[in-house]
Amino acid sequence: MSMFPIATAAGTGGAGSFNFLSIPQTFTHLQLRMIARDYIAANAVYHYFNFDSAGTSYSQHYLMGDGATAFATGASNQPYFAMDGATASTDLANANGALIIDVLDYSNTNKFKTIRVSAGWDLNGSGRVWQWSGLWRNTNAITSWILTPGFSTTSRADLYGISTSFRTGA
Amino acid sequence: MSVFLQPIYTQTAPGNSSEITFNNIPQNFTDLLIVVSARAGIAALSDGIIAKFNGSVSNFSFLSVEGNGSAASSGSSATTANIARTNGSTATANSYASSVIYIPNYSRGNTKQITVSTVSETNATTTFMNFYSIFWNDRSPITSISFPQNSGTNYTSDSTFTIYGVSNIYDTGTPLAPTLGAVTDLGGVASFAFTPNDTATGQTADYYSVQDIAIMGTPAYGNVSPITFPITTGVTYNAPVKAVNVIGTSTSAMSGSLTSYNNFASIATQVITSNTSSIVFRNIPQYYSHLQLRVYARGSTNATSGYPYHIYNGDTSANYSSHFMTGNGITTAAAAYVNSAQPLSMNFPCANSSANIFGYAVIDIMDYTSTNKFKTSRIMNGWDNNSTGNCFVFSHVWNSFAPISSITLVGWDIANFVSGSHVALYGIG
Repeated sequence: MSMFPIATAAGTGGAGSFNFLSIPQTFTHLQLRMIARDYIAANAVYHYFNFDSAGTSYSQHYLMGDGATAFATGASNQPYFAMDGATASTDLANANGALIIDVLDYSNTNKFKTIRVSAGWDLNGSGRVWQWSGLWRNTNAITSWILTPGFSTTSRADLYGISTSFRTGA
Repeated sequence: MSVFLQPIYTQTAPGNSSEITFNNIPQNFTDLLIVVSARAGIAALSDGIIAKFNGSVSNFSFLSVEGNGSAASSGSSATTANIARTNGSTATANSYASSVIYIPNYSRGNTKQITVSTVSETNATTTFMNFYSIFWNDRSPITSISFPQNSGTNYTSDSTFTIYGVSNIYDTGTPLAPTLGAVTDLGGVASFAFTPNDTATGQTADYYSVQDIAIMGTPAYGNVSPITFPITTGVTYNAPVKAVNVIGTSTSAMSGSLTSYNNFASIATQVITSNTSSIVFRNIPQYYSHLQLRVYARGSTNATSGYPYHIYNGDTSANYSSHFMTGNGITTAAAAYVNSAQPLSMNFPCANSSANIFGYAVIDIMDYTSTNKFKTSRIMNGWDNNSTGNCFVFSHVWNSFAPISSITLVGWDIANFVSGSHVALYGIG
């Protein structure tokens, strides 16, 4: 067994955030599984680690398809991860975006933290699918994870810890 | 509560290897999930890791969708496949590429379809991310997986590779109790052998553990027999082997009282029966605190004496230093070898010395598994020719944080270790 639930957060329907604090340091990797609909007319999922949200420590890139076009872009030196992945409050009723965010070696103090995100939504006539990459240029272990700007009451995020093996198989 | 994702193996790159290999992959899962966090010495932002199953890079083909921060593209190959990415040396410092590899039905007699999601993120305009779809046109069950870095450069230390097993068989009952076998004092650790009794579907163990029933303390875990359990000299232990799954735990018979007064255990001995240019100890157990090598040797070269040296983990780079002082009963001398690939660490008599004269060296390596220390050893060494002789004290350091998993003694100046030489490796708890 290796994948353990750590905590769950649910949307309130208004401005706010999913707050994962005091993340245990006993696992090797983290995975966040999220179903999300913004409380506003946006697709935003902004998130940051360890309350670091005002500097230039983040960079991100994405590969996106919408059923007709493939698109890629990126941004460096950002104050936080600014990603899309949630449906907007004005989108098809009851439709939510789905995201899975992996952070490998989140407690390793010799590495900057790389995230890999698979996300997408389908509105029965339109949709988006993304792969995001992100980098937090900080070697500190991740102890907290905040996601904003606020999500519907049907939104939730589940944080899991993933352990590793003691055998090398070498 | 847990989902059935079982960690099988993990390796952290030692810093001097361009290929990581997992052997003996268990065949009792349904699918494999592999996560890789990697950086390599290639002078580039990012590079690939080549797909290699069962020792072969043949019979692969793949499709790729790629984004590079400004454009999307697609590619393919009918002969080889990349299975993951690494960040290179020109990528933002301390950044590592992140990859997830999924191999369904890896142990069945079908061809294999593999999906990969990989990202190589740096704080730059250009970066890389890919979806790969890989086809391995081979019906063999996958028993080993290797990750050769495309350019052949070494993975940096802290690159990690972990294999998980995924199963579609869910436990419905407590696992059957294992049968305890021999409990062996290995000096600093005890080996608990056991036989699993996983004969009932839905009652298989996820893992096994050993924990003293009175002292409790930190359990030792394992998936296969035997499990090695750390013990303290002079303390009495009594422990069973437990089989654990998400439903519950079952327990074997108790081990009976075990009290060890031995924390100096033989790991391996090599006896030389013909000229041998190097002597290697591989797969050194990682559960001791220190190592000691006891070397009894003579060299083949046409000289009175000569200097071999020892290296670790196959690292042949100039990553070592050594110093010595010596006396021959008349004079003393000293020397240094700094930032050397041949860190001289012993001196033995050779062909021009009197017949049947061998030298002796004791090499103490402290904290050989520490990931926070360079590896220092102290060598006491000497030989006597009944008219001449030398005694030496060497110091030796390997500038690496990697745990020592192999030791190689290289003849070098003595050419070969001759018949009658032998080397014994001990673990100290």
